[in-house]
Amino acid sequence: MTDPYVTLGVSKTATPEEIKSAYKKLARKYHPDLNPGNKESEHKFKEVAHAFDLIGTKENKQKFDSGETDQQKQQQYEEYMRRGSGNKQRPFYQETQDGSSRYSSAFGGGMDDDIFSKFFGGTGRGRNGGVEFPGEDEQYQLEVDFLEAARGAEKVITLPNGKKLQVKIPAGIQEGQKLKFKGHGGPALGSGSPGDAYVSISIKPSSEFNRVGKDIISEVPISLFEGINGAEIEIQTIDGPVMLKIPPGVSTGTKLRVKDKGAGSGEQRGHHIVSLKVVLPKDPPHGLKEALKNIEKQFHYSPRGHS
Amino acid sequence: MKKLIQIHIEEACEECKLSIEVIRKFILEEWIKPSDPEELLFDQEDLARIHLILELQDDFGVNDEAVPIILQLLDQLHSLRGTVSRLNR
Repeated sequence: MTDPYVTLGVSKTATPEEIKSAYKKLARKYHPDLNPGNKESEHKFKEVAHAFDLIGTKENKQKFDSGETDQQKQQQYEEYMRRGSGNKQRPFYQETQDGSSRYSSAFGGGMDDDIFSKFFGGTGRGRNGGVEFPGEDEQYQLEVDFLEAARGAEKVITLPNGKKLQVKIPAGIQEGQKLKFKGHGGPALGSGSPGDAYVSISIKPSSEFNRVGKDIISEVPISLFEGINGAEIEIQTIDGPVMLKIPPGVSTGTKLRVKDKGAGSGEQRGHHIVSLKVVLPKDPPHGLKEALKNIEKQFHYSPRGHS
Repeated sequence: MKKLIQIHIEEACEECKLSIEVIRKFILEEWIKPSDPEELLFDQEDLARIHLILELQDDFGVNDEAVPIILQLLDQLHSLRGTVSRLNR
């Protein structure tokens, strides 16, 4: 016969509270549902439970201490410990759970409309009773050139797991836009579907162009004479050089639109906006200054409003 | 492991030394779902689960808010263990 005081690790003078606290501590440690499949834990748990049964209350402790604890109880215990887990009166909960049991295979059924569905991102249950854990979505970042973003491109990226992904970048894609690749995320467990891969686009800036929405903006320097007389000059667009007609009398900041040379494709395509900048010669030659002084006398104007 | 025997709620109360109100509460909280919800019949799994809830409350000091969380996690754990052992087969 085992000594319940030894089993619970308390002294014979321990109070019922101390005994209860010692019991709870051991019960928590050895509970079979926390140690599934561990026979030793199960045995310990039973010992602890029996010990508590013997001395857990004031009355029982008195009985036990005076040797009055009935033999029947001890026999029951010994019988209980001897029996296999197959035919004992009550199995531990984990012993009833074999993956096809009602609760563990049915935890989707009306019982998971709470935080857990959030944890597991809509965890479902297979029609066949097996679990369906969808794979996790994965996020990637892809840096593309300014022109690739404006005109569209095809790229191959290699995912961390070695998988190669053919990425078709649609023309006119915006900074931060995400492309979704269904089924290329984390693997699923059971019969669930794999997660999706999301590729977030970041656009490298260009020294030549800027983007505002679908429009491409570029600054084009012109001379004083081109500004006054107008001209036809070659400018760069994302499709290559085009000729642009500058009307007479434009200033710095005048904007000219080249239709359908922006980002995007087809009817969705933006425009190319040219922002003009009149550039004067840095060290005007003496002759030019003299010539302009003469012209100024004849064609004086004030750009600040009062002529 | 699943026993096919089912017992009525009154017998279940006796077996678990509980009042019928406590078991009703367990059902209302959806902590247990009787194997036959209309006739209120309980199988071995239900009874083991009731015992588990009682042990969680009495021995572990788990409060009513935490009981469903622990049950859910245990259910998911058992379900995963089932899946893993099926996959290993």
